[in-house]
This record gives sequence, C-alpha cells and structure tokens, in this order.
Amino acid sequence: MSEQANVIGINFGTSYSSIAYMSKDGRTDCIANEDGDRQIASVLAFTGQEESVGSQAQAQIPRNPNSTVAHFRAQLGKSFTEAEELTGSAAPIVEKDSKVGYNVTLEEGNTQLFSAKEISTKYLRHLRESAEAFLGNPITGAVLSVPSYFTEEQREELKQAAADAGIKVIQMIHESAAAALSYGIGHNSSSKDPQDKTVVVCDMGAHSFDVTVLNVRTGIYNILATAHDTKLGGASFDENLLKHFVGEFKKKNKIDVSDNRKALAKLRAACEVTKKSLSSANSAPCFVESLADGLDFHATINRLRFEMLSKTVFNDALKVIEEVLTKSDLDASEVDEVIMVGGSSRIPKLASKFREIFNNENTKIRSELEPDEVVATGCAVQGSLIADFDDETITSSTHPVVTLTPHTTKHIGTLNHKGEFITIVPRYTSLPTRRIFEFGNAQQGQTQAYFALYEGDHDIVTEEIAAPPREPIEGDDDEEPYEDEPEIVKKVVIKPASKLLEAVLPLENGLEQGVAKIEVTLTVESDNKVNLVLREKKGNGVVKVQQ
Amino acid sequence: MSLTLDFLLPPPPSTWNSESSSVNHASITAPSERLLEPVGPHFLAYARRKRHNRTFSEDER
Ligand SMILES: Nc1ncnc2c1ncn2[C@@H]1O[C@H](COP(=O)(O)OP(=O)(O)OP(=O)(O)O)[C@@H](O)[C@H]1O
Ligand SMILES: [Mg+2]
Repeated sequence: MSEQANVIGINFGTSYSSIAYMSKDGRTDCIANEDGDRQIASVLAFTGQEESVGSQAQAQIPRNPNSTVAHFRAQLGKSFTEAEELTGSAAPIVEKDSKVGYNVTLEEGNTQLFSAKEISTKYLRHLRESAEAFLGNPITGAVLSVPSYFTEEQREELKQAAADAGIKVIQMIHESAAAALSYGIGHNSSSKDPQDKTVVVCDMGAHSFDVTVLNVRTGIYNILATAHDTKLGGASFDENLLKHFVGEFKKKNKIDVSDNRKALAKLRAACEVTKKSLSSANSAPCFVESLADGLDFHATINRLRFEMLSKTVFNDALKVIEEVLTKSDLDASEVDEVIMVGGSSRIPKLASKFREIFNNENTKIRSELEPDEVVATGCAVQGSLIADFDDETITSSTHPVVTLTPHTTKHIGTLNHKGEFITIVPRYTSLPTRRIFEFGNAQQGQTQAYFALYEGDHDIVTEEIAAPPREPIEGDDDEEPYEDEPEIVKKVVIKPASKLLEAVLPLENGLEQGVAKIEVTLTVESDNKVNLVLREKKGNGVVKVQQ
Repeated sequence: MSLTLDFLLPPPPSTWNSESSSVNHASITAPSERLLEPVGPHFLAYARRKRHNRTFSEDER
C-alpha cells in the first residue's frame, strides 16, 4: 500500500455504523468517534443548524423526536409507497418527490423537508470527518458494505449519498463476504490445499436477520443462497421486553403507557440497555426516570425470563436458516463454519439455538471476532487489497464479464476401495479450477497405478432408524404394547453418477506398499474440459489425459 | 471440507484392456453460470488472470 492511500471500510447499518481501517502493520481495527463510540448509532439529530450523530443523537429520540431521524439507511432508494416505518423511529417518514423524506423541526417553527438520501449524506459526512480526525489525514476512498437484499436502486443511492458526503466509494461488497474476509476464510488456500468450505453467515442486526450460504473454493467466494427476515432482529427483542415492562408498570401503578409515545420511546431505549446487559450478566435492571405521571420505573429481569419472552424470535431465526439450507440444497451437516455477525449475535442463547440445527460436531460456530465489527473490518481488508488499483482495474474486475463464471454442478471425484465417492472438486466450484494431490500405491510389487475420475450426484436422504425392540418385561403382560417412534436421520450421500475417465500410470517404485508417490494434477478448464496429469514423483512415468 | 485423500491407488482392474494409458468416457455435466464475490486475494488473482487472458500455468510462472 502506498503512503498516500488512505482507504477505510464503512459498515453503514440501519441502527449502528462502524468505520475500520488497516494499520501499517496489517492489522484492522475499528475507529471510535469523538464521543468514544465504536458502534456509531445511525441517528442524525438537529438542534437548529447543529447536527449530531451517534449516542448523542440517539439520546434525542425520546426528547426531540421531530428533530431526530433514525433508520434512514433502510429507506434509501425506495419509493414512498414501498417504504415502511421501522419500530423505534423518531421523525416519521413523509413523501418527498415520490421517495422517502422527513419533515425535520430545526427549531421552534422552522421545519425542513429532507430526503432519506440527504440525511444519509449528512450522516456519512460525520463518519468521514470522524475517520479523518482519527487518522489525521483525508481519506482517499472507502469500501462500503451492503446487505444481500439491497436492490440496485438502493446501492446506487447509497453510492451517491457517499459521494455527496465526500467519500469516494471504491467498491461496494456484500456484508456476508466482508465478514468472511475478516475471518480470513480461505486466505491461505492453494491448489494443493484448497480449503474448500461451505460457510453460513448469520447476521442478526437490529431490524433484520440475514443469512447467507457462501461457497469457498480455493479462497474464492460465491454466494449459493440467501434468506432474510426484515422483521426480525435486535428490535424484536427490545419490543418483547418493552411489552413485558409496560405490563409491569401497569400492574404496579395502574397506568397504561401503551399509547404514550414519549414514555414508549424512553422505555424502549432503556430496554435496549437492559437487553445488552443480559448478554453478559444473569440479571439486569431496567430504569426510567419519570416514565409517566412523574413516576419512575424500576424493574429487574433475569436472563432465563428474557429468553422465554424471546422464544418466538429465536424460533423465527431458525426458520430463516432452514430456508437458506433448503434453497442451497444442503444438509446442515455439510456446513463447515457458521459465522455469527451483527450486534444481536452477542445474545448467548442465539448460538446455542443455532446448534440445534448445526448439530454436527464438525460444524464450527464462530464468534471469536466482535460480531458488530467484522463487516467493517472486512471492508478495510478489501480496501487495503485494492487501495493501489486504478478505477479502471476495479471497474473491470467487478464487472460481470469477470465475475460471471461457469461453475460445476456436480461433484468430481474418485472412488476408494470400498467404492465410496471421494470428492476432489465439490459442486459449484468456479472454472477454471485446479487441484493437486498425492497418492501412494496400494499393493506390494505394483507396476501400474489405476485412477478413475467420476462425477457424483448429491443426495440428501432421510432414513428411519427403527427403535431397538424392547425386552419384554415379565409379569407385565397386560401392559399396552406401544411402538417406539423411529428416529429419522438425514444423511448426505454422494453417489457416483458417471465415469469421466480412467488412466493407468507405470510405476518404478511400487515394490513396497505406499512407497510410490503419485502426484495427480486435475484441472477443469473454463470450457468444461478436464485435464489430468498423473506423475510418479521419483520416477519417469507421466500420463496426461486431455478431454 | 478440505481435500483429504489418504488412500492408495490400486493396480488396474482385471477388466482393463486398453492399449493406451487412458480412456475418456464422458464430459462433465454442463456448468451453470454464477457470480463470484469480487473480494479477497484469491479472487483478485483470478480477475487478473481473466483480464489478461492468462491460464493457471502462465500465472504461476
Ligand atoms: N451486547 C449485546 N447484546 C444484545 N444485543 C446487542 C448487544 N450489542 C448490540 N446489540 C444489538 O445489536 C443490534 C445492532 O446490531 P448491528 O449493529 O449489527 O445492526 P445494524 O447493522 O445497524 O442493523 P441491520 O443489520 O438490521 O441493518 C441492536 O439491536 C443492538 O441492541
Ligand atoms: Mg447489519
């Protein structure tokens, strides 16, 4: 990276945003703004002509809702008819030029109509200024993340808003891919160690649960399927707590605040704090001064209770995961890694719920990196990779001419001595691709080695395993005989479907079993042709097969 | 899943009677077009090869 390049990563979220950079020693970190926020609330508050963002602005939601705008990212690029108000918003959405706008009270008697894009521009300008203050230099560009469900219009408007804020967007990448980059998934792979993986990125933010299945093939990512629920997220937990506490307040004081906008906004903010505490403590207080009629609200709640209140949220999340697995024709056991992303991933119960689906012991559930920082830091990683590229190179590299590629649709592999399929190139691998691996010889005194290449069909089969018969208990004859439920298990089988080619290599060193070292290089070209080279490492024999 | 091929290659089966050292049987099933995520070092290496119309072996030199 040249000295001048000052590229940052920005995760502009519906509720919180973060900015990351890569230091000279190659480490990524998030930047704290002037108020010390690393998670900068995506809220813009006006006091006259003065603007504030982050925790300062967030505090204005109950106090000055008509001077405060929240959740504007969700409204970018949407027509007014498409737009939906999100819970916990401040100034309500209104129509502006058939798009979304906000009538903001700047001071008594002075309101101004801003579009969601204009608000986003103002907010992003604050982010840029915070980054520049921190880094002590103007930034030269930024990699921005977008959720998988963002439309072309949304991406376009975000890009314009950033440009208007003085941020040159050098690339926009998917949040899921950014998170995987941050974890370095597939970075050290090679033809000899392809590290082919299936990764599920589970991103629970404040107003959405976004699940993505990523295929990683020799370090190259491809999105296999996505599913999301924009009614599910941290705000759902907050609402459940809110309802619970509204009930408690009513029971105690005979005052119902369910229609009191100001009281609800105050209590909602307190609920978010309580919820966050419950991620690390077993019980947490909730306190609101003068909630209604001058009465304070004070309660405590324990984690178990919170988890019970949130039962449907957890279960709805599992449904989204099931949906994405079905879409990608995968069984949960085939998933190598699950990456926990989004602030709500800090809720301990969430990962343990996910284990109910990903119950294979080989599936890793990863949350060792800060879940609300990985998207921004992944953007910073990408930013550092392309910081020195010119615009033309970036544009052509991200163009479908380059990114749209043929992918295999079946597994390619060989059979072991039991006739079972062993995958070498898993399905959905982009072409061209190459795998290099090594075998020994199976028998003593072997003068030739045989290798056959197959395609395999992926099949998820359900098997009923009948419960073992019960021992009859003596003297218990008149007991109603009942049948045990058979256990239903899902299993993935890859069945050899068609034989692609066979090859025989003469061996010089096959006297002892396993001593000959046979290197196999398999290349599948972008025109679909298979190219195989078998070579004895300490001998002269080479067989080349070309289709 | 990583590539673990810890098994040994047998001699040709008794039915093997080819004169040549290899036999081609079938091509792989027609691939489907998918979009790659344009991120990460391996993608950039791939994009470079594609932009310059280079093959694997040329790139590795
Ligand atoms: N320690 C914690 N425990 C529980 N929830 C938390 C914790 N920290 C943050 N959250 C919640 O995470 C959510 C914010 O997550 P994140 O920053 O990933 O959302 P976002 O990207 O802005 O929203 P979205 O992805 O929906 O657009 C909020 O609902 C917040 O309350
Ligand atoms: Mg998010």
